[in-house]
Amino acid sequence: MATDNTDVLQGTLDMLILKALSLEPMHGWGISQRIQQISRDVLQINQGSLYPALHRLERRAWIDSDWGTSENNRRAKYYRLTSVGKKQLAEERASWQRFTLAVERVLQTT
Amino acid sequence: MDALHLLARRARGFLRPLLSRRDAEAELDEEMRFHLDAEIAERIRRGMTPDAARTSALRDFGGVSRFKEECRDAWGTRVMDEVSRDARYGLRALWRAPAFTAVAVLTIALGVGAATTIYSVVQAVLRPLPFHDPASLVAVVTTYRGKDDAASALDFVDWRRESKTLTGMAAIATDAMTLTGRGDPERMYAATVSAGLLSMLRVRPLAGRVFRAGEDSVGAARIVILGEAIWRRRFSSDPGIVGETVRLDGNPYTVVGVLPTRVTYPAAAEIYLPLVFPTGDLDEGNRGARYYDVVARLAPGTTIEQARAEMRTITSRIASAHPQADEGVSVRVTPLLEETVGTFRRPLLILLGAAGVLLLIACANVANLLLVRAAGRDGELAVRTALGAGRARLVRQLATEALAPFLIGGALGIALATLGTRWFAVAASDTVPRLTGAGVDSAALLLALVATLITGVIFGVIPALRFARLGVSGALRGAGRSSQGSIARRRARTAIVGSEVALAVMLLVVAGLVVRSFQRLMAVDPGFRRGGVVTFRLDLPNTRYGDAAKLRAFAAQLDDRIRALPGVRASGRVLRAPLSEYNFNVGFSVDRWREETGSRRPAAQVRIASPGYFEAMGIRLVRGRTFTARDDANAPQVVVINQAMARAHFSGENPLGRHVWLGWEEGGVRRGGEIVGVVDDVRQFGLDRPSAPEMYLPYDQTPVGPMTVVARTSASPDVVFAAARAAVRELDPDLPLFELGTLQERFERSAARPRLYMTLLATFAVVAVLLAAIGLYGVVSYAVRQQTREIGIRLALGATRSNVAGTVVGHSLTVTVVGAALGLAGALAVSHLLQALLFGVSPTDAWTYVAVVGLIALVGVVASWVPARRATAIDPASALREEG
Repeated sequence: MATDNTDVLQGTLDMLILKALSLEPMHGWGISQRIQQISRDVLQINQGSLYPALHRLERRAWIDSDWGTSENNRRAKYYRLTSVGKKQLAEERASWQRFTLAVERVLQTT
Repeated sequence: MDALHLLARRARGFLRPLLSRRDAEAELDEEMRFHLDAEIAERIRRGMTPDAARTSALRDFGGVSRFKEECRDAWGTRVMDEVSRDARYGLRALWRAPAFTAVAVLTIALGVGAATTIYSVVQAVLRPLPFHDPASLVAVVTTYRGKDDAASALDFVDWRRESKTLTGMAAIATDAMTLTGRGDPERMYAATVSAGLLSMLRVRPLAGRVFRAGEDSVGAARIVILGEAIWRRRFSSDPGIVGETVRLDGNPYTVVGVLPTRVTYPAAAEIYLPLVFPTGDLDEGNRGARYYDVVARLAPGTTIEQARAEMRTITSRIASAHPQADEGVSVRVTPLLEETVGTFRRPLLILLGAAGVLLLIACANVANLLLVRAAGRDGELAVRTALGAGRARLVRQLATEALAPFLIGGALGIALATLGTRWFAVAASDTVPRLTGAGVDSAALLLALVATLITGVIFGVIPALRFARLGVSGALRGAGRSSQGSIARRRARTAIVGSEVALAVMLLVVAGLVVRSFQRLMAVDPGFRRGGVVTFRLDLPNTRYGDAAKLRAFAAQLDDRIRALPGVRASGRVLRAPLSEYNFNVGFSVDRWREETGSRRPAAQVRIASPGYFEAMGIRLVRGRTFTARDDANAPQVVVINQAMARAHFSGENPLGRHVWLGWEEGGVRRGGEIVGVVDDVRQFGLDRPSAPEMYLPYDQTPVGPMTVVARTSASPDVVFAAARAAVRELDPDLPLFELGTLQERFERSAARPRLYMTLLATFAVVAVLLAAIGLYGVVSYAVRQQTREIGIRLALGATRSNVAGTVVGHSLTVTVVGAALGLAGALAVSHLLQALLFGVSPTDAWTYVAVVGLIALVGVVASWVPARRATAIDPASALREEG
C-alpha cells in the first residue's frame, strides 16, 4: 500500500488529524491550518500526506465526511470525528504519552 | 456506536469508491481544487500578489497525481484498477500490432481447434461401449488358417455348451428384410440374434421388452423388436405399437419392444429378430457353413487370457473331431470394443499425433512471436522504468499483454473445435463408427488451452521477469543493440524455429506419404469402367419367389424393363456388385469333383451374373466369351473365370474347355461347368485389396433372390431411378429398390477412409508449413533489423548487395536445413507406424522425402526473400548515422 516508511510520523499525523477534528468538523485545508497554528508553525502538514491520511482514516471509520459550505461560500468536504475515532484518539494519545515519556527517559540517562 | 453501525459505516467507506469510481474521482478533484484555492486566498491575505500566491501555492502543493494515487491506494481500488488498465493496455498493444495479433490469435486458435477436434473424435470412437460392464464383453471370432472367418452354427452351439469362462454367448447374423403394409415397401437391416443377446448386454427398451430365453427355439412365435429410428420414422413414435403386428417379407411378426438407437448392436441393425437356426445349419454336414458373429461376456472372476486358453482348447478338440470341416480352424477372443473400432485405433492415433504436433508448432510459433516482440521493446521498457514505472507493475503488464492473444485465440479455438467436431461427425459418419453425438471433449479442450497458456507464460512472462533482473541501465544500454539478453534470445528463437521446421517436416513427410498412397490408390485399375453406371438392389423374397422358374421369369421381365429405361445402353444383374460387403468363397475341384478335406481343396469367390453384366460394367473379356441368353436352364452348365483364377489354377495352360465343380449342390445338381471365358480381374473388395481367384455363374443356371441391377446410361441417375421404381412397381408392388447409387459413388465411398485421413493430414501439414514459414520470416527479418548497422558497414566496406542478400537467405537456409534434417530423422523413426495407412508406398519412400526437403528449402528461401530484399535496400550512410 503506502510507500511511506516513516510509520511513527504517519501514526503521529493520524493522531494530529483526529485531535484537530475533536475540536470541530473541518475541511482538509482547515485541518492543516489548524495544526500549523496550534503548533506555532512547527508542524507543517503536507497536502500530499494529509489527503491520503484523511481517506485512510475515513476508510477505517474513525472519521466521517460530508459536503458542506465553507466560510467563503464554496462547496467543501468537511470531516468530523466518529465515536470510534474518539476512542482511537484517546488510545493514540495514551500510547503517544507512553512513547514520549520513554524517549525522554532514554535521553535523560547519560 | 454499536457494532452493526460501525460495520455499515465501514462497508460504506470501503464500498463507495469501488462502486462509484467516477463520483469518487470527481469528489477528489473538487477537494483538491478547494484546498488549492483556500491556500492561495490565505497567501494573498498574508500580503502576496495574486500571481505570486498562485505560483507558490501550486509549487508547494506538489505532484497532484502522485498523491491522488495514494488516496486511491487508501481506497483499496488500485489493484483492480491496474488490472483493468493492464488489460486495456494489452488490448491496445495488440491493436497497434495487427499482424502480430492476427497471426498469434489464428495460430493459437488453429492449434487448439485441431488438437481438440481430433482428440474429441478419438474419445468418441474409443469410448466404452454403452452396455453394462462393457470391459467384460468379448467377440469370439473363428479363424481359418490365421484369417478371420464367421462362426458356424454347430461350432457356436458346441462353444456355448462347453465354455465355463464365457457366459451369455450369443450368435448374430445380419439379414435384410422388407417391411410392407404401411406406406412404401422398405428394405431394412435386421439383426437376427440369440434370444439372450439383449439381456446379456442389459439394454433397456424404450417400450415393451427384450427377447426372453427360448424365443429363439424352432417353432417359437414370430416376434420382432423395432429400432428407435424405424419406430420414429415409420410408426410415428407410437408406444402402442407393442403388441401390434407388422409384415416382414410378407409374414406377420408381433412387435414386442422398441430399442433405443444409443444401444444399437450391431451398429447397422434397424430391427431385431430372434435367431432360429435353420434346421440344415445344425446338421453335422454343415459345420463348415460359417455365417455368424459371436459375442459373450467374461464370467465373473475370469480374465480374457483364461477365456482365450479355454476357447482354443475347445475349438481344437472340435477341429480334430471334425477335420473335414474344421481343419485349420481356431478361435480368437478379443474385447468387443477392440473388435468394433480396432481398425480405427491406429489411424486415429496417427491423426491425433499429427494434431498434437500441430499444436506444438502453434505454441512454438507464438513463443517465437512473443520473443521477437519482447526484443523490440527492451528500449521502451527501459525508458518507462527510468521514468518511474514500478517494476512489478511493468512485469504484470507484460504478462497481461502476452496472455491476451492466448485468451482470444483460445476462445476462437473452442469455437473451431466445436465446429470441427460437428463437421467431422457429419463428414465421416459413413467412414468412422460411433461418431453420432460426438461432442467437444472438455478434458481435451482444457489440455490444449493449458498447453498454449503455459507457452504464453514461459515465453511472454519469463522474458519480462528477466528484464526485471536485467535492470534499467542494462536494458537502456542494450536498447536496440546486441546485448547479452538479446543474443540469448536470438539463440532461443533460432532453436524454436528450427524445431518448428523439424516438426513441420515430419508432418509433411506423413502427409506426402499419405497423398502419394492415395494417388496410387486412385490409379488402381478397378477392372471396370465406373463412369455413367447406376446400380440398385432388389431382393426377391423366398415367400413369393420360392422356385427357380419364378425367379427366372421375373428376371427376364426385369431385364426387358431395365433396357427400356431412359438412356440405357447396356444393363445386367449380378450377385453382387464390386466394392460391397459380399464374400461367397466356395471350394472347388478342377475337371471332376473329388471328395477332399476342406483344407486341401482350393476355393474361389463365386458371383452370379446375367449375360449383359460384363458389358454394362465394362469388364474386359480376355479370351473366350461371356454369357449369352442361350446359357439357360436347359443348356450345359458354363462358368466364366477371372485372370487371377486362370493364373492360380491353370498356370500356363488354356483354361477354356476345362471344367470346374463347386462344393455347392442344389436340387441334386452340382454347380460349376465348362470354362467358356476369362475376364479381367475386378477389385471386388476394395481398391487396395488384390483380386482373388473368382468365377461367375450364369443367372439362369443358378437363379437366386438377391440381385444388384447395373445399367450404363446417359440419363441422370435420378431420372433412371424414378423410372426404375415405376417399372419394378408394375412387376411387383411389394418389392423395394434399395442401395440406389452410381458406380462412381460406390468407388468413392470405398476410398472415403483414406481420403478422409489424407485430407486431414494434408491440411495439418499445410498449416504446419505456413506456421514454420511465418516463424522463419519473423526470425530472419528481425535479424536483419538488428544488424542494420552491421550490414551498413559491410556495404560501406564494399560488400555487394548480392553478398548481403546471400547472407540473409543463407541464415534462413541454415535454420531450415538443420530443422529439416532433424525432422527427416524423426519422420524415419516414426514412419513404420504409418504402414497401416499406406497403399503401394513404402514408409521410407525416397521420393517423398526428397520432395519434402525440396519444398521446405523453397519455403526457407521464400520466407527470407522479403527480409533479404530489405537488407539490400539499406543505405550505408543512414544506417551508420542511426544509433551512432
